Amino acid sequence: MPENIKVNVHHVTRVEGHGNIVVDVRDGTLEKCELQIVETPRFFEAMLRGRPYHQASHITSRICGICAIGHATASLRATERALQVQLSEQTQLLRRLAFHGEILDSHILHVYMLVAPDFLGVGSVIPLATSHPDIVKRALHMKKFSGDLCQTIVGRHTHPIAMTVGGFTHFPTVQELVELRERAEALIADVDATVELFGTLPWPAFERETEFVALVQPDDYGFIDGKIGSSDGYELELDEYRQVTNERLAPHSTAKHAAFNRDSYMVGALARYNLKHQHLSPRAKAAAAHLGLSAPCYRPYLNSAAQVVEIVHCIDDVIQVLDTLIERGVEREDPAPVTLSPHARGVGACDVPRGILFHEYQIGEDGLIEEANCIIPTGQNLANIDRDMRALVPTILTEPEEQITLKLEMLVRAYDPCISCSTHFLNVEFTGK
Amino acid sequence: MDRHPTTLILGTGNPLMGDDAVGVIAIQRLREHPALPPGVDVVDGGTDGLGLIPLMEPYGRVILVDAVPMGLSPGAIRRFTWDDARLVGHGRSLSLHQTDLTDALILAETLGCLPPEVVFYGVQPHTMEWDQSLSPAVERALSPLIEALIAEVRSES
Repeated sequence: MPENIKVNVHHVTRVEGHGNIVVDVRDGTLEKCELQIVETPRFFEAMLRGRPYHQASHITSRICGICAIGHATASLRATERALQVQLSEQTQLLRRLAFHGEILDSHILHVYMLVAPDFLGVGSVIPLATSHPDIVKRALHMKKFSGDLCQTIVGRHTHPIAMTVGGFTHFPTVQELVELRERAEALIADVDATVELFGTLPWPAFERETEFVALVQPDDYGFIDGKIGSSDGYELELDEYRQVTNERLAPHSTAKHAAFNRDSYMVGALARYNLKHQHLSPRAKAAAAHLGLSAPCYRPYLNSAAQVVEIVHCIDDVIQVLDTLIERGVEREDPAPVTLSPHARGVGACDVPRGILFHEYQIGEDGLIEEANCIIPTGQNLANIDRDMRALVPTILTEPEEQITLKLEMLVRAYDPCISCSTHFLNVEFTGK
Repeated sequence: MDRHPTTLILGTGNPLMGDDAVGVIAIQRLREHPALPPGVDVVDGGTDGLGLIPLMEPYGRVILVDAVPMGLSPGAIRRFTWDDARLVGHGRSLSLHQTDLTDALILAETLGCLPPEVVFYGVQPHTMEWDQSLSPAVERALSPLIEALIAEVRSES
């Protein structure tokens, strides 16, 4: 390395946001307690306006390296609903597989690499690799499977090039599906070990009743389409999503806050578990019991436990979907046709790892996008995180600052916020006390 | 461990973030390059982080292509090795923490599954803001970058 080069490998572009926790206690009174997000403006509409509709899923899949398939799916569904596209059963099955691949990938990353270090007494996954190499190797082994699953179905590990409006442009062979099935079956031992490991962790007992919101479908623990369900007893059509998200500005955050029937709500794995646990696979139900989950669960730290339950469910469902596809065979279908009309609007929604993701497009008769809107799950959770912190802090004020800091960080991390590198970027600032 | 005999060229970055796209665009160009020798895999790693570990593991040589802020003129290309980057990182001001990619490399090294040879081709970005095009300086750097990568993979490691 020559002396005169200053290398700064600082990929700030990988950071989906920058979060600070600010707690201000003066004379024993909690003056301020909030998660400050300084989020890069997304320029979502500017990215898409004037673009042909078929480019939208490829562009938006690049917004997030973790939820690439989620953004692509929400984008495709918005376009397909606007352009009256009817999907074949095969397309729906293949998308379901790819989506499970991403849920697995993201949940494994979160529970093993970001959550487990807190409980195992190390600062991050790097020292964990020294203290518990088997655990980290297991996580990477599981991630390899989910990555290869996505690669086989959508043509690329992270960014889904084979998914297109109305279907797919590339199809897996039955032989590839058979091999994936064998690997999924073999992965069950790792999945069981995951449940065992997380079953031993001392989840903090903190609880606060709140509203949970997730996509719901009859008889299915599905992640794509459906209706917007609330634990307060409401069920809305996807087109009514703005009535749920009710975005408003919060002074300490460049990301907007959301509220539905209360002053905040929670989306993500725990919300899904609470709203549709009855549709989990039998092994996932057993895992939930082992992890101490029972609905309704108001303990936000257990969102990570609910993610473990979803890892079990997704592996089971992957095997089931693979069986269906292997039995029926995979045909090289042409994408389903679109119907263009003036100013056609469509809302696409899917429950990505962190919660419901909404895309809404208006597409002109010329096939160009006229308007676009996107609401990400982390934005929907911000108000709820603030309220959790405000309820938690008074109960732990007598603890050392280090402990308070750790518990707040762990709380924020439990929501799996889309702040990449949240291990490093969360700083707790004590302005009073 | 038996390693796959081939070389991997892995471009990373976000095509929505201006010059951060350079690694991904380099991969697209390399795929169509007539002089790309056999036995070289070319992969667009996007903004994946730890998922790159199992992707890199089977290879004996990995060449990473990315936008790297190095305090140089926009479009400047520098080749450096993982050892260079890591040593400087520990000794001086190089910020090797707080990134998914460097975490992935450190983690792979800790677990003993980092490929034996890891080389970086860093391109100094001009801007990394929300923008779907490269700056002129980085656009001009693409041709020499591709030529350098082709020369690298045609050389014996």
